[in-house]
Amino acid sequence: MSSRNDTHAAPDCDSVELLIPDYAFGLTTPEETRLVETNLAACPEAVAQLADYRQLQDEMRLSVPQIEPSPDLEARLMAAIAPAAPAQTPRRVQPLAWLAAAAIVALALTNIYWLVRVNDLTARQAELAAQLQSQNETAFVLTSTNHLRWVRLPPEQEGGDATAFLMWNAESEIGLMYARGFPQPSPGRTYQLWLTQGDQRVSAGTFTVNEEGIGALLFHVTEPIDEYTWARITEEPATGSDQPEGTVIVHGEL
Amino acid sequence: MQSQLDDIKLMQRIAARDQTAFRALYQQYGKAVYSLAYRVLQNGTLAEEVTQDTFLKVWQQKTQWDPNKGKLKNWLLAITHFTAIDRLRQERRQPALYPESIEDMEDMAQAVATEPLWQEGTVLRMLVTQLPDDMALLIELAFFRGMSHSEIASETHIPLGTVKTRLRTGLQRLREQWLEAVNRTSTHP
Repeated sequence: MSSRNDTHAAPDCDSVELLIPDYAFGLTTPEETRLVETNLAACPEAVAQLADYRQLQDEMRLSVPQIEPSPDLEARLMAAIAPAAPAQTPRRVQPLAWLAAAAIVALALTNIYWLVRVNDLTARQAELAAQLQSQNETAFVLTSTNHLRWVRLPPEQEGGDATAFLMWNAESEIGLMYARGFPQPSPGRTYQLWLTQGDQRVSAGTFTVNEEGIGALLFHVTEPIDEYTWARITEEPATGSDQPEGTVIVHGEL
Repeated sequence: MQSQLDDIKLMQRIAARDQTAFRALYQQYGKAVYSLAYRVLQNGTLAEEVTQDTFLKVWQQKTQWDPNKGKLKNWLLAITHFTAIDRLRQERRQPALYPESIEDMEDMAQAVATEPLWQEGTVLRMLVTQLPDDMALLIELAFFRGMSHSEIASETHIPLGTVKTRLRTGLQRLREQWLEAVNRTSTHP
């Protein structure tokens, strides 16, 4: 079954051929992979079998039942590649009523944010006093703009109580997150906000919630928040994670 | 049906940042990409994210299609597959072993029964159903869930050595049956 080369240090084509199914499907160990890749070129039958398996994989990918994606996925995708074309994306349409509603929500969220912060930080008043000036300036950036956006992040778990609101200025890298209905994180764990840009997930910071499951986070990222397409909040170790690994609590499109 | 030449022109326009061409690419292949992502992830939200990530990789030219190496659709689905498996590993949650409802399976059986024989992937679906159940399951876990031998052994409670043997035998059998079907069809169009 194999095509052996018997004239010089003959590769063990039988062994290579035996490994081809596993190799094609990424199931070989590093040693097996090395054996295949070192000898493959000298084993034409193995090369032919590998090509068959590659075609078989193409067919397997084509064989899945076809499902229609949600109708708005196309619009979201086009919005993702055209950040400078505000008129083409629904969330960038800003009628006057929408702006007014957003401003009211912004003010309400800001008030709630400060209430939560004041309640939570009574033990840290001295530190808060030092930070207050800059935080007030940040809140002003959020609430004084004509380019205010906000979005609700629904619970990942169907029927869950957790929800979060993100509010940001379209032109800045500063945003405000307000969470409510969150369960208490497990001991040694905290919540972490993530923003998605392409296939990159960027941490926007960690936060905790009070006894009522309410928490807030003023966050700053390196790119204008409009450049991001998705947000999620996960439960992570108290020190935070480099990439989201824990349970997703809320998750949604920006 | 989209020809290879059409696809080459489409990709050239996308390389030139033509958003209309990008929309056309999505309209042509978005359903197949989403369907494969959904098959791997078993979650509509994650499947949409992977679909979006896949097309953005194309738009951002992170990877480039070589028409000499195969069809555009196969290339797109390979990107989708790897992206979905990566996401599945990140999420660290494996969907249920038998995620499809009875209704879905009936729909699939109906589709298999009524589709023209060589509609894409149909023959392979039929061949997989002819494999013993345990072999089909192992192939499903290895290919669509990206599991290693040891992960499959742990998930199915089948000894590791048995998993390796059955999976290899299943893949060899599937290849043989598939080649036989291809040859039969090319002989009797």
